[in-house]
Amino acid sequence: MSGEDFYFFTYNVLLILKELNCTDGRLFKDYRKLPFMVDVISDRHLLDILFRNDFGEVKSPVDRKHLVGSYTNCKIKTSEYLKLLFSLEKQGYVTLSSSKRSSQIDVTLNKGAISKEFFKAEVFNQEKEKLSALKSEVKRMSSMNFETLISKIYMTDGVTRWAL
Amino acid sequence: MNTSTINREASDKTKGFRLQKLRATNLALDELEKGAFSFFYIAIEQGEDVAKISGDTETDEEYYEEDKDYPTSNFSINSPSVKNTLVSFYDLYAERWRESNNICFGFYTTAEVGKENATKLSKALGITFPKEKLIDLIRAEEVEDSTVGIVKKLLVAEYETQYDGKNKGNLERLKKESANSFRAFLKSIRWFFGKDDNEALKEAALIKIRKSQFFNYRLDGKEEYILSVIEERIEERQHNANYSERFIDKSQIELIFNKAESIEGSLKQDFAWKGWDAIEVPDDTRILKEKIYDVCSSFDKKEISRLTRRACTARFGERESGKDYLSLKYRVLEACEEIIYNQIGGDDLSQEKIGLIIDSLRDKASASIEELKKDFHYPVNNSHSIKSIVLDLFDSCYLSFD
Repeated sequence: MSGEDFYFFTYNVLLILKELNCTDGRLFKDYRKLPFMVDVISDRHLLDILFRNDFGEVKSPVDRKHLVGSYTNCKIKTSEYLKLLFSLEKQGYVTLSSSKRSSQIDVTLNKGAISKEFFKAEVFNQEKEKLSALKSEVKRMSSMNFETLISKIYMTDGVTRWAL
Repeated sequence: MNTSTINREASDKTKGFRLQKLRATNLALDELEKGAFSFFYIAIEQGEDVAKISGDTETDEEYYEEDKDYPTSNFSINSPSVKNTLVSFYDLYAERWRESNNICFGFYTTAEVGKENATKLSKALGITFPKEKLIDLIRAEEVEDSTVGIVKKLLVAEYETQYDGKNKGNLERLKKESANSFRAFLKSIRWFFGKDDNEALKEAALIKIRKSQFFNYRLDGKEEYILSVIEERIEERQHNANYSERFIDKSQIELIFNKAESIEGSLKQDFAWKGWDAIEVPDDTRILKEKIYDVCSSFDKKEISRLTRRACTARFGERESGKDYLSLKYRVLEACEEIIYNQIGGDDLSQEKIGLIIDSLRDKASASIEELKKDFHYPVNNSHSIKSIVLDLFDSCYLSFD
């Protein structure tokens, strides 16, 4: 992962936490969902493919291939996200916590640490639009578990179970 | 005095042709998604406005459709268009029924169902129309003998007026139809009233294209292209001498999707024109002539008026091409600003030097447009026109030699 990617992910992660209202103690459960959500809101085609197929079976093999590509790519990046989150925690932007029952790591955004102007920036408009479109289709993304999110985005869509 | 002229516009007639093509396209796109073993052949102006033969391994169907675009009217069985269609359907029915036991018809219109009114003809035939609309009655599950009788009487009368010469067509056969067999004919007609017009059909077709199994993300933005190629194929095929070649089939449409993948995507619009709003308008009100004289009083007069004229030609382009042109102009300004400060300085400039400055600005702008052209669309990108734009920027308030 190059240095530039880290900035890109940071912007998107902060945006997702803010837009899903996971701020000041309200938890975003399981950070592993983040890379997949970032991909959906930043990739030019992913969300379109999902909507075109009504979040059901993806008919075109070309589209399916794109989906599998996105899945594997995000899977590879997951550990990088963890490093990123640790570093963001050190700088006070987010707080990480792990639940007692499982080893999963949850995230919350420390709103005070980030200037209000940051989220108002117009450059995020496209991502915001995509995120709200995704929200309308996949409810409760902040609290759902990792497997559920993956099955909503990928499993019905041709990335078969072995991929998990 | 008012003079009246003959109206030669044919848009009223041509919109009917467009409706046919769009209906044929929509039917084809519906059939396309019906599974691996389905097949279809669709053509326009074969027997009826739209002809479709479709089926799969088990069943098949021969379908003829008549399309009528009359947005603000109501149709009843008594309307000339409907009666005319019934005659045409009956002829097809009489000729084809032996060969195809699954023949059916469709009457597609943007109009609504209307109620029959007593006419001279209906009185002469001794018909009293029921309270309900006849078309609603024959669309119902059960069609009563009395309804069948009325429609048959009307059709026979219409048939006789259309075949009033030696050629009697299928008149005898029609007259002999029993209530049951005539009911079977009426049952083979599907009625579509108050349906989508051209605009709505186009939208529907574009959605079907996006939702098709043959669509994928690489075709993003090419939906309109795919639609127009399908329409074009349907249109050009209608004139083929060979009957079977007049039809478009499943594999051809699949091929259109596949071919569309390999064509170059259209270039994007450059939004640099928005930059004009952000620029502070300088208060330099001098025009090109004054700007030149201020740095070079000995500049040739003829040459100045030539340059001014050239600057003016750029204005024409601006009016014609709109936002794309403004984006281009903005990019030219950007490019010129980058280098102009290095070019000028010093007090007086010679005529030769001014010429060189303008040329180097043009070269810089051309090079930068050449690069931007890879992604964006511009109305012009030849260096000649770009020089005009550079001069125009001098003539307006944005650039000067000092």
